[in-house]
Amino acid sequence: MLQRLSITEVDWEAVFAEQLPRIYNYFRFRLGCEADVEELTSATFEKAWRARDHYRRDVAGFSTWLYSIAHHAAIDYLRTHRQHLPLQAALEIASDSTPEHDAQLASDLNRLAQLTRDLPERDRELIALKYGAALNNREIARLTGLSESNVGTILHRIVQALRARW
Amino acid sequence: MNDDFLYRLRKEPPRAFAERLKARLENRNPRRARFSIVRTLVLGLLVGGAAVAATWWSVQGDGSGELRAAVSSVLGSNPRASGPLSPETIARQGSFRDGLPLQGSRHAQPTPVATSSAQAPGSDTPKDEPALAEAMQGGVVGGYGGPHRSAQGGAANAAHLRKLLAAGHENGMMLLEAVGKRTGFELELEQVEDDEAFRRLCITEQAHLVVTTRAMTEEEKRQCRATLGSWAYRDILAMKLGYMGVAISAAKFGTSPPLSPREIFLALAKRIPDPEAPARFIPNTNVSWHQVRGDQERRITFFGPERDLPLARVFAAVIMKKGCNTFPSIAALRDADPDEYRRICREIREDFVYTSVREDEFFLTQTLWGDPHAIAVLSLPFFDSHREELSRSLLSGVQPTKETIASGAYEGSITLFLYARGDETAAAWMARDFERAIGPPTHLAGYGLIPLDAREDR
Repeated sequence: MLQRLSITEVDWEAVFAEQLPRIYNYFRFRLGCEADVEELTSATFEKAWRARDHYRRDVAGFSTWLYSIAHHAAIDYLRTHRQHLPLQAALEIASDSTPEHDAQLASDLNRLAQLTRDLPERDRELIALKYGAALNNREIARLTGLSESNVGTILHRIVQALRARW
Repeated sequence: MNDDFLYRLRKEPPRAFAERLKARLENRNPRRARFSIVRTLVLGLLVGGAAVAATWWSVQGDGSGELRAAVSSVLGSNPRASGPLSPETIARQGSFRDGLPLQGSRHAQPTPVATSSAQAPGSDTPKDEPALAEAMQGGVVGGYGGPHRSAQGGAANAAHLRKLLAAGHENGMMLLEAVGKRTGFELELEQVEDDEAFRRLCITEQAHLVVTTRAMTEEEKRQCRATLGSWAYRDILAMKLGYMGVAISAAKFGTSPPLSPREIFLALAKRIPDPEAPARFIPNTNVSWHQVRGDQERRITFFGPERDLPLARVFAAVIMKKGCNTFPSIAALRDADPDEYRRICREIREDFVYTSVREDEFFLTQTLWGDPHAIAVLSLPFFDSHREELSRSLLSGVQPTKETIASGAYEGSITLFLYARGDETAAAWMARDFERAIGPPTHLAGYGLIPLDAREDR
């Protein structure tokens, strides 16, 4: 008997609710500022959403796809906006929190961006995935191709170095 | 400065932004979105194809790759690219169609309908896509149906048969889906092996179209003739679509020896036969090539296309499948449990061994060159255009060239054939749409399809 190939089994609303803050913060950490974060987040979700039918049985695969899109979006953005990176951060004020809190966040994020600016691309990616997207080491390993223990080791070394310079 | 401090730098996305984005995603019509992907792909290929073709022409004659000639037909000129399919062309491509009219068809002629509507009700065919009914008014139907069948009658059939049953190879289904979306046809697709596909086309009549990886055998033709009658036999259209394949390579100075499909399967499959009880399938724990082939103690690392991209499906259907078929316990599942067979043969492990990458210069210079042990799964056009920066093909056996791909000697490619029941006008029109789709510049190139070149098409 012939069967149609479109079956929806995933709760995409739940996926959206879970992944939106992760992707949003991934971009904040990758860019080191608030500028264009919403635009990149939107572009990432819109692109991934178009392909979600392919992942109706594989949410893990969808997440990988989502972060892959985000990664390339960040790379493309940074290539073209590199000179503006740390400068706009302090000017950005978000809308859902107190101005003081947001100003402090933006200031810290800006400081982090300055300190990580000279790190290798891979290290900046790991920081964004770990602390921005709040992924665990296993998830990061799957995305980056590094081993789980290697991810832990590298992140530990990065945080130590940042602490010394903060 | 510690983990907690860094986590506290996170913040929730603004609520208004989240709501706005959610509304936008919910309002997106998924079918239209798929069309826009196809359109983007076509545009990208148009622009990219022109650029690459120009580059190729400029360096032609340097003798650096016979494959270039085979692949260039994706991007260069091909006489099949435009215009309707003539009866002569059909006869040329059909392996056994004799071009006789459809008189005597036992399928009842549907009542003719007006052909002024270019788009059937409910069709999502965009206005800028050539609509099927519009194309039919060009009189091309006569090429299939003979003088007694008018364009109007053909359109009636198409309207009658907007829902088509198609079966065959998984990559063939992928192509049918891509072409079907551009025509407004509704397709019911089912992946089956070649034998079953021919059975459905000829014997059980469960398919209007099939895409297979081999031509119909003489015995199958005989069966087809016996079941459907000679009139029907003459009206089955046969077309060699082209080839699908991938290249396995590494950095220019990579250290990997050639790999067989079996070794690649053992390195990348999500589940493999238990060495102690081969009928049982266990999670793949191979992490070094020493475990796979007993020679070198180095880590298995693969870079390849995103798992949902057509190229990844080609890789699974061509190389992984060849590898898994070397295990008798898996091959036995082919008939006993086809779903399990497909899962075992095509599922790629999800740990750190396989990393999805995008084929670009960044991948070559930043990723592949940094790891001389890493293996890359690449599209044949990308491999061919970056031969200077890559190792030779690492797939055991012959190198991918125009001749080895066409002859089937190269293990990383397959040949695809389309068979359609010519007594169903809609099926014939699908064949015509394939004719257009596989000509350059072709959106099907993104699906790993390498069309026939002009010489082979004669």
